[in-house]
Amino acid sequence: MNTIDLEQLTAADRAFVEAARSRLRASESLNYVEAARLSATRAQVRELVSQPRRSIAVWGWAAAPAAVALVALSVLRFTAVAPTSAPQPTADVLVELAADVNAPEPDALMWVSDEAGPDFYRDLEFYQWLQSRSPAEPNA
Amino acid sequence: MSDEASSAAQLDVFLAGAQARAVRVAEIATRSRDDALDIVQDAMLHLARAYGRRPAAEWPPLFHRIVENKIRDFQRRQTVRNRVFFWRTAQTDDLDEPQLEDLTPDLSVPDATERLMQAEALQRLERAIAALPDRQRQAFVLRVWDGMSTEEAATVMGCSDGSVKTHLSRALLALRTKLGAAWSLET
Repeated sequence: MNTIDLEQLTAADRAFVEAARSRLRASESLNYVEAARLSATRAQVRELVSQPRRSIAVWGWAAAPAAVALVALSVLRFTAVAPTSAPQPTADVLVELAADVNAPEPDALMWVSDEAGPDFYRDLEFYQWLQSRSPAEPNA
Repeated sequence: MSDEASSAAQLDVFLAGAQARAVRVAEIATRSRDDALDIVQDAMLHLARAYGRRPAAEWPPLFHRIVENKIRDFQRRQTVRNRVFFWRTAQTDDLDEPQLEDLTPDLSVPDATERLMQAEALQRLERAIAALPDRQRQAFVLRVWDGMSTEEAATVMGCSDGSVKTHLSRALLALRTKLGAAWSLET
């Protein structure tokens, strides 16, 4: 790569650089309005920089430890308690409790299949009796 | 005088000396005088807030860096805006329009033709600089326009000395190719 420094330029390059520099520097100007605008900004800058920093720092040094202490105290109030081991219920107690829970409600809705119920067998017997009585297949 | 007042006065002197060049650099990069002024104002306030209490020797590279960062932010915003509002007409090119001060006769140059040629040559140079990639433009501005050393320019650009030399070399080649060999001889 052709890495150059200004001192190492050829005569033509140096002439170009000098011409560009002089033209660009000659074009650095601000009109009245622009100068006034930037002057106002500089006034703001002066105000920013000339504000004493310590007035804020003193307030911060006092407030920050107080805030930390407040948070620490709030947290320390809720100390952790070691969990105590509760006695385990015996198997009989568990069975008794489960029986109560599993006992069917007297008025609870229950699903009963009618496929194998008394009506089904009754109808089946009637059908077989009717078939034995009939001379031919009823559905023939 | 207190330390704060002293550094405020020093910063004011520095900014008063640097503001006109910063505006021109930003103007060439953004192609808008108003946006350039906004950028320089923001950069001044940023410098004061963040680095106002630093030693005065550190201000020039910091100020350049802040201005360059703000120019880059502006260009990114413009890119996004142009993509979103693609139906809008292109931004008015302030550099291409004659400004009131351009039309005011400059008494230091007697010949009107010569004056016109100088203005035209400057405009061509500005357009060529604006068309350079960012890093090359930065290297050219810092080394040629500002006259910074390679080391100072490297600090501002956040890269090595070798990179600065490479960017400058490419920038000079691109500018000379674009402007032609006879440009530096024009008036």
